[in-house]
Amino acid sequence: MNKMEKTGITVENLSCRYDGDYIFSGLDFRIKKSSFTGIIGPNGSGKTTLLRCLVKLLPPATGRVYLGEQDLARLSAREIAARVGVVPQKWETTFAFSAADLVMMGRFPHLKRFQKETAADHALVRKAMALTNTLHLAERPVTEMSGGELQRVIIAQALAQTPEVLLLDEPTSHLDLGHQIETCGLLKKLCRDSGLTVVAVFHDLNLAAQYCDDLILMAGGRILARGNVHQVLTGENLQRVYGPKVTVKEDPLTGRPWVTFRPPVEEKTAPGTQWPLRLHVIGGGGMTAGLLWPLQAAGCRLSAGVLNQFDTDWQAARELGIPVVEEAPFSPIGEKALEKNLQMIGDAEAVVLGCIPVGTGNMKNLTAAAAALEQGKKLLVCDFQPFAARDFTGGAAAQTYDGLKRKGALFLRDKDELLAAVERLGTESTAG
Amino acid sequence: MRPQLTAGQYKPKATVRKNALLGVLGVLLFFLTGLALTLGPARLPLNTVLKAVAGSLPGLAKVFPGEEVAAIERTIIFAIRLPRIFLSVLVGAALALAGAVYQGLFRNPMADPYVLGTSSGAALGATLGFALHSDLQFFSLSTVSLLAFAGALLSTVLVYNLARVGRRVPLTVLLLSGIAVAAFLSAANSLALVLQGSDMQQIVFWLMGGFSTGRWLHVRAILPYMAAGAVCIGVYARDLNILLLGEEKAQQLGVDLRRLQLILTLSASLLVAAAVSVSGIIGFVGLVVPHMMRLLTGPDHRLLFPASALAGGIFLLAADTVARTVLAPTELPVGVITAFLGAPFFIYLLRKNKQPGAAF
Repeated sequence: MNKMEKTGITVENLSCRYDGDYIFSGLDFRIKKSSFTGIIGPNGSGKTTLLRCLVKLLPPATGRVYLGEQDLARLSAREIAARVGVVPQKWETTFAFSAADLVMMGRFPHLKRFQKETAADHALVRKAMALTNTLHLAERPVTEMSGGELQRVIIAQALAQTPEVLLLDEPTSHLDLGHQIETCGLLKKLCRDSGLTVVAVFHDLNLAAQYCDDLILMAGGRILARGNVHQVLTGENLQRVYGPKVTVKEDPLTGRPWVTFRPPVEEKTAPGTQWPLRLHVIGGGGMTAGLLWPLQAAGCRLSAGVLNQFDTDWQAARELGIPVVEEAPFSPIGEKALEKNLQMIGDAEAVVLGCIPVGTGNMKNLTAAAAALEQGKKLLVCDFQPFAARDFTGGAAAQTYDGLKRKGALFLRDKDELLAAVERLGTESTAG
Repeated sequence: MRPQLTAGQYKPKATVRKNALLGVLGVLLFFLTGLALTLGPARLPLNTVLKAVAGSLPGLAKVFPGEEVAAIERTIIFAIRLPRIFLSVLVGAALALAGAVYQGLFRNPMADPYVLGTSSGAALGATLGFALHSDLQFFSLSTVSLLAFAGALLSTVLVYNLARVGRRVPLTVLLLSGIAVAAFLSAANSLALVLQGSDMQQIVFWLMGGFSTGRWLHVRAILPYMAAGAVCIGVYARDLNILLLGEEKAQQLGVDLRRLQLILTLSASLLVAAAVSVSGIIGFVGLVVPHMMRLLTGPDHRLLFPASALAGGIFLLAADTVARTVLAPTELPVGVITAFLGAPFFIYLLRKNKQPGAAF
C-alpha cells in the first residue's frame, strides 16, 4: 500500500509566532489516517495553538501542513471546513438556536450560496445527532443545555461536516466521568468504523492512555516525545514535562499505561529527636503495602523484609525506593534471607510487624520479630485482625505471637494507632 | 419516560410558524396602510380611499371607475399620503433591517444604527451634502446620499474598531464608543450648520426626522439603494447565523469572515444612509424592532430579516401616522414618537440584561 495514502495530516517544520514570541517551532510529525491521536502536555505548551494552525486559523511562521496530500495553504476556509471538523475547548452562546439548527450549520461548507438544505443534509444531521446521543435534544434551545449536552451537540455539528479529520481541544474537560467515557468511546468508534482521523488535546493522561493509538507530548513549544501510548507515557517523560514524580503502571486488564502519583514525601529531620526514625517493616502477603507510604510520609526511613519477589508488598516497597530483603517467589524464607533480615533489624531503631498471615513458609519472619525484641528493639505489632484467623501453622505460630506481647511488644489495633505510636517514638528525645 | 422526538419533526413545524408570522405581519401592514390613507387633516372615508385605490389598479379600473372620487381627494391620496406612507414603510424597514444586521454582526442586542453612531455619521454627511448645494429646493439627491453613505460607513467602522479589544467587542465599550463618536459627529454637524448659515432651520427640522416633505421623488431615489442593500443582506443571512456562534467557530465552518463583515457593514450602512438622506435621524427603530421580532422568531436571520423589515415598516408607519394626526394641524417629528417608545424600551433592555440570561 502507498504510504502517502495512509497519512491523515503531515506537519513539516511548523512554527507559529504570536506577538513576536514563538509559541512553538520546528514541529515535524505525521498523523496516520483513521487513527486516534492525543496531544498532551502542560498548560501553555502550545497544544491549542497547534490545533488552530492545523485548520489555518493561525498562519504559520514557517513550515507546512498537509491534509492528506494537499497543502493547507492552498485550500480556502470553506474547503478546509468541508474536510476538517473542530470542537473547541470552550464554547458558549447567548443565541437560542435549537440543537438541530446548530448541527445543520455543520452542513454550511457543503452548501452552495443559494442552495437550500436537502433531504440528504437533514439525514446527515439526524445521523450525527443519533451518534452523539442528542436526537432527543433536537428542538431544545442550546442556551438551555447543560455543558455536557452542549458539548455533544457541538461534536454532532462537527460530524455533520462529514470531515476526514476531527480536531478536538480538550473534549472531555467539561464532562462528567460517564460522558467522558461515552465521548471517547464514540471517537474511537468513529476512527474504527468511519475511517475518521481524530486528533484531540487531552489533560487527563489516563483517558488519553486508554483510548488513543498514538500520543504527541508537547512542552515549551516542542515535541518531547511521540509514538504509541507506551512510548510516550513513561515516568521519565512525564516527570521531565510536568515536574513532580509520577508512577506509570500498566492496567493489567487493558494493557494500557496507567499514570498515578502520590503526594511527594519530605523526610523529617529534627535535632534532638529520633527523626528520621529508622524503621524496619516485616511484611508479606500484601498486608503491609498500604502501610509503607503512610509510614514514609510520617517521616520514617524504611527498610522491609523478608518479602517474596513480585508480591504486592515487594512491588510497593520497590516503587517507594525502600531497601528490601527478598526471597524467590512462592518460596519459603531461607537462612540467608533471615540473616539479612536480622541485619536490617539491627540497623533500625524500631521494627513493625505487619498484620501478616503466617504459614510454614514465612515462620522465620515471626522469629525475626521475636529476635528484634531480644536485641532490645521496640517492636510494634499490627494486631489488626485476630491472629487465629491468620495462623496457618496449626497453632505453632500462635505461641510465638503471644510471646511477643509478654516480652513487651506494643500491640496496635489499627493503622491510626500504629501511626500515633510511630509519632511518639520519633519525637522521643535521643538524650532520653 | 419522555417520548423521544425524531429530528424530522422540527422542520415542518418551524416552516409553518415562519409563514404564519410573516403572513400576519403582511396583513397588518396592509390594513395599517389603508387606515393611514384615511387619516389626516382632511378625513377621507375608507370607502373613498378604497374606490380611489381600486380605480387606479389596471385590472379593476373598469369595475371601480375613478371618476366617483373627487380630484382633490385623489391628489391627497396619491400625491401626499401614499408616497409618505411608502417612504415611512421603506425607511422603517431599512432601519430595522440594518439594526438586525448590526446586532448579528456585533453579536450584541444593543447595537443599532443610532447607538452605533451610524445615523450621526450619515446625518453629518447629508448636512455636508446640503451645504455643498445651497439650493435646497433642487438638491442633488445622489450627492447627499453618497455623502450620507460615506458618513454612515466611516462612523460604523470607527466605532467598531474603537470598541474592539483583541477578538472581542465588549458591550460597554461598544456603547461608550458609539456615544462618544455620535457626540463628536453631532458637534461637527452643529458646526457645519452654523457655518452654513442660511438654511439652518430647514436642516434642523430635517435632522429631527420626519416624512412631512416625503414625495414620490424620494421614494424613487432611495428604492434602488434599499433594494440592493436588502438583497445583499438576505443572501448572507445563513452566514450571519453562523457568525453568531463566534468568529472562530464561523471560520472553522468555512465562513469568509472578512468578506462577510465587509459586505454586511456596507449593506447595512447603505440602508441607513438611504434612510437618513430622506428622513433625517429617526432613532430606536433599528434597536427595538429587531429585538422584539427576535423574541418571536428566534435567532435565525432567514426569518428575522423579513420579519424585522415588515415590523419596522409597520412601526414607523404607525409612528408617522400618530405624529401627523395626534396634534393636527401641528405635526410632530416622527423621531419624537419613536424615541418616546424606544428609549424606555432601551432602558428596559439594559436593566433586563443585568440578570444572566438570554438577551437573544
